[in-house]
Amino acid sequence: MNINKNFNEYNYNVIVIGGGHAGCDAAMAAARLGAKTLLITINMDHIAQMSCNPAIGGIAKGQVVREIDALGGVQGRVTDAAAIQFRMLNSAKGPAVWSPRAQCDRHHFQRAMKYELERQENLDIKQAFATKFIMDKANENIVGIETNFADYFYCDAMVICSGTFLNGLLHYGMQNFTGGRAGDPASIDLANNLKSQLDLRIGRLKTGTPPRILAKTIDFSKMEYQASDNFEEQFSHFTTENVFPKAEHKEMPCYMVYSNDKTAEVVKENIQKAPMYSGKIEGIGARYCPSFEDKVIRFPHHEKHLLYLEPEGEFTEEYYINGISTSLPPEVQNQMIQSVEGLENAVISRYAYAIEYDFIFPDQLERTLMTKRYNNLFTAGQINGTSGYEEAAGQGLVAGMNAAKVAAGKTPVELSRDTSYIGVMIDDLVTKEIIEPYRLFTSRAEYRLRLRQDNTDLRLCEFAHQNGLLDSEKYLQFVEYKGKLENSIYIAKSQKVKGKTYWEHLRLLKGKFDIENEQPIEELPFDVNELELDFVNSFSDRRAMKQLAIEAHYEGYIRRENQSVNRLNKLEKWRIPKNFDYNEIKGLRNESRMKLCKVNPTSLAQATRIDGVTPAEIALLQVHLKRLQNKTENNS
Amino acid sequence: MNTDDTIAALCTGVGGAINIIRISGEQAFDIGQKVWEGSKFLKENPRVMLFGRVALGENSYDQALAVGMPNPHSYTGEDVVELHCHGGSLVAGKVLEMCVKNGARSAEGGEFTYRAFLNDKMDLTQAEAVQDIISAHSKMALSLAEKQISGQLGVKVSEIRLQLFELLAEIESRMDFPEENLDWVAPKIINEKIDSTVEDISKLLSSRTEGAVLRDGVKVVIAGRPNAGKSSLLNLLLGFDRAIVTQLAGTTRDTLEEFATIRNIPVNLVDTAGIRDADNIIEQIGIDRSRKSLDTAHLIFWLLDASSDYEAELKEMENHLDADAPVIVIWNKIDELARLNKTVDDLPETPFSTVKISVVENKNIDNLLDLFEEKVWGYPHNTEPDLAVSSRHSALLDEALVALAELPELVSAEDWELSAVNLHSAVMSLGTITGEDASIDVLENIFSNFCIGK
Repeated sequence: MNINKNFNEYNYNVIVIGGGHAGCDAAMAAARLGAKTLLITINMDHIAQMSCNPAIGGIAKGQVVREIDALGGVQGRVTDAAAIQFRMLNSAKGPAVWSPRAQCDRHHFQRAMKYELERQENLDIKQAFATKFIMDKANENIVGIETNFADYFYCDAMVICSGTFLNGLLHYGMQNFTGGRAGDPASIDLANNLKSQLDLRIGRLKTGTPPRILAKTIDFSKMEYQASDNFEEQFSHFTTENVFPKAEHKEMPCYMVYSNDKTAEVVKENIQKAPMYSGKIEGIGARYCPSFEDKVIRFPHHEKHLLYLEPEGEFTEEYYINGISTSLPPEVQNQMIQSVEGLENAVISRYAYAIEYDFIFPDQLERTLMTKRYNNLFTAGQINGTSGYEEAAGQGLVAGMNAAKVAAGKTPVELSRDTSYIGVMIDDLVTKEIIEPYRLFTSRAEYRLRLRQDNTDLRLCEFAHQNGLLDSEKYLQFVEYKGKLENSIYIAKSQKVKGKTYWEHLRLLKGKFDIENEQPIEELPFDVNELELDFVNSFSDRRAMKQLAIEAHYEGYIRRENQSVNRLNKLEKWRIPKNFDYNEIKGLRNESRMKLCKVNPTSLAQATRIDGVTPAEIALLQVHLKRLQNKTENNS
Repeated sequence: MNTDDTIAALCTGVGGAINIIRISGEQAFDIGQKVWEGSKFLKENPRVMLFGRVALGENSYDQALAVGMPNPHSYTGEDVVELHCHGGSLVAGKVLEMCVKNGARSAEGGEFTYRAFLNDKMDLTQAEAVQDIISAHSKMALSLAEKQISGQLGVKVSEIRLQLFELLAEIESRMDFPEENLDWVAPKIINEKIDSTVEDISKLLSSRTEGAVLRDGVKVVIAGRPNAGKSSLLNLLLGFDRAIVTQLAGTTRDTLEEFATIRNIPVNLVDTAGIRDADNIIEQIGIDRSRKSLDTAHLIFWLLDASSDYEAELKEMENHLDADAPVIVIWNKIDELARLNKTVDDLPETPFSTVKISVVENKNIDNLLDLFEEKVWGYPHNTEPDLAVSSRHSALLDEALVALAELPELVSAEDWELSAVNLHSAVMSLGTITGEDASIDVLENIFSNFCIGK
């Protein structure tokens, strides 16, 4: 830290505002790249708080956590430390959609993350409110940030990861309070200055969280038990020394129970007390994560809805009631909860609520997560209109890396749609209109068979190492693993038995190599030991073996998947110059012209992904690009 | 093709009594008004036929009608002015010249329709139908094209695509919301839906013969020994004397091609030089061409002279007819049989479908045409098909069928991620037919049909 002659002025390369899931991976990435980094958070004890459900991973999200790990990020290994239950979702389906998820001890997660940050070289942490941007003399560029302590932090690049804190407003029925989440204050000054000083387009979104209930007041005997998968998976690819000890209990169960017509009746009787329905909330919520009142009103023919009870940690009695997020008033919540079987005597420890907050429309961003307006300002997480700890951390990592690059005078980089879910997400964010908090799904990826949880290292470690995200120790581990895998693939493809290569025989497994279930392996007409993998004793060899089976299974289909997205690939080659003037094209409808100007796509393929732009308009655009190309060729 | 300037072209064929010149683009009203002189301004009287005169040059005018159609309510979706003047290529040329002088560009072929497509006035199948209407050779082709331009094919394909799209959304929801307990349908029911879609696509594809025949026509080669009456038959079928007909064998030295519409089928009729060993080199070249024609024929009319010594002729026929195309053997000159004390029953069997006619007496020609029709369609063809797909459509429909063929097995095995690859590919193929994009967000469909929210 460089202290100027005034004792309240400091210089950093990168400043990260906000210590949530996006902020942590942003600060860690910037520091890994060697940038002198400062993380500003409102409360040191709430770093990496799980404000909603106590779990990391899930459909498409689990893939992201493993991508983050392959990119040297921190969320995966902290999850491994805090995990108290592990499940591979979709394991009965094809390996392309297997998605790891871990229930976590919330406090363990926070402490492990805080410890990681504290130990990271080049990284300082400060508990303070970021309040006002420091601009240069021309009032055009951001040079730093002021805090409520009248400290002046100067920086080369800045990342804002404000979560739900910007002008946060909590709703409990007709009552509302300002706040960043239950128990934390909102960030009002920063929100106002984002508008007045930086002139960014700001919108309003809404999310919500269900009630927490004390275990001793729950009759679990009336509920269905959901056990942990009993196997050795973890999120991290790397066997590095644990910075923080792991949670003791690894197999804590969840429980399932249904709401009933009485629950629905309570909601219907009190619907006028829901702020969403009385017009008190203006922010837009997500369709994939509706409040319980939304479910009852929108799907009246459903008599019951599935609820999951998830433990909040090893040493706590609190349970998270997944599926019953609501903003109805507390007294109604009590009635709703007690109408459910097994919860007749339940005591709510924390009431459910909805929260509204400011976000910036992400079409103001480049695919590097840099704002188009300020070439040293980056944003990540809920401020960009997303939801989810995993989506946040993925963006944080990209924003932090690029902030460090810009601070060092280097060119920021992008992740592409065909190598990562993070790339899919960021491209969607900057291209598509955000009409609700954005969450990843596997169906958002056109290259789903390739973007799997088992091959994130193969997809991303090279990139990570080249860009300074992955240290040599981890990179060497990866190189060794890849060497083993390639060797076994070589053997499998060159050895033949019964007129077919081992590789072809491996397809019989349909991608599912499970040494505990030996039967399909014994049906193989060759000895798997010939593949030179010690899958009995070595975890990484076992991983390689599993991966081999998956690669063999999908090889042909991946080729076909490529064919069906080939049409898009061709359009990807049509680059659109940054200063392209859409007013030149007369045939465009006004709405499309405005969207194209806003998004300013870098390729024709990206233009096809803008909602509402018709294929005919794409054809028009192509004609103009072609003419432009001819002109340039003739001039040269 | 440039699309932001104003274009003009003559829209009517040469030789009619009226020329219609269409101007389309942002400058259409300006240019139209500059070449037009009437008591009312075009712009102020949209969609009304106005009387006045069109400038053909300095102090030269033609009496004419004019109508202006402001965007988007015009054929191209742009501002359009149409000038209806007197016929004759001279007038048309002058009017066009005046339009160009005032800032219009002479339109390229198909450019108005291209703009209509770009401006969302029609889908791809409709745009294609415009070309079909213009080039329709028969009443049936025209009526089919009219059905297509009204969007019937596009609507049908869109319907099928939507059904597949809904299945895709259902399958995606299984992978993206595994813990939601949604009301997923059984694989068996999915497969039933796929079966019915395959049936729908196959039904469309069954019109591929009609499509090919009506759009491209059939090539009928008339072959046989010299002086069997090939040229006479050609003239009869054409309804006018195209070929020179003499009593001399070998009169036709070269192949002759003519277009005709026979029983609503566009036909490219090819009359060939009679096949024999000629001592004349020109005739020999003609005979070689005849043989080549046989190789490219869709249908062969092989003529036999019933009045001749046909034993050798029959042998010769069998030597030559190893072509793939179906053959109709035609015994001609049955009017001369009585003179030879024979009846038609005395004529020997051939391995081909056979008719016995007299071109001179116009006898049994209907039998020939019935047989011709049957050979073209492959079956008796009494009713008009609803739709006829083009070769572009049928290639894409085939592509969709290939993708769908594997689905039942994948669905039964509940290999959802692989089912999705195939379904997606089928949806893309169908979307390419209509020009719709395949990128409609699958999630939209999921959210509108399921209660999501763990």
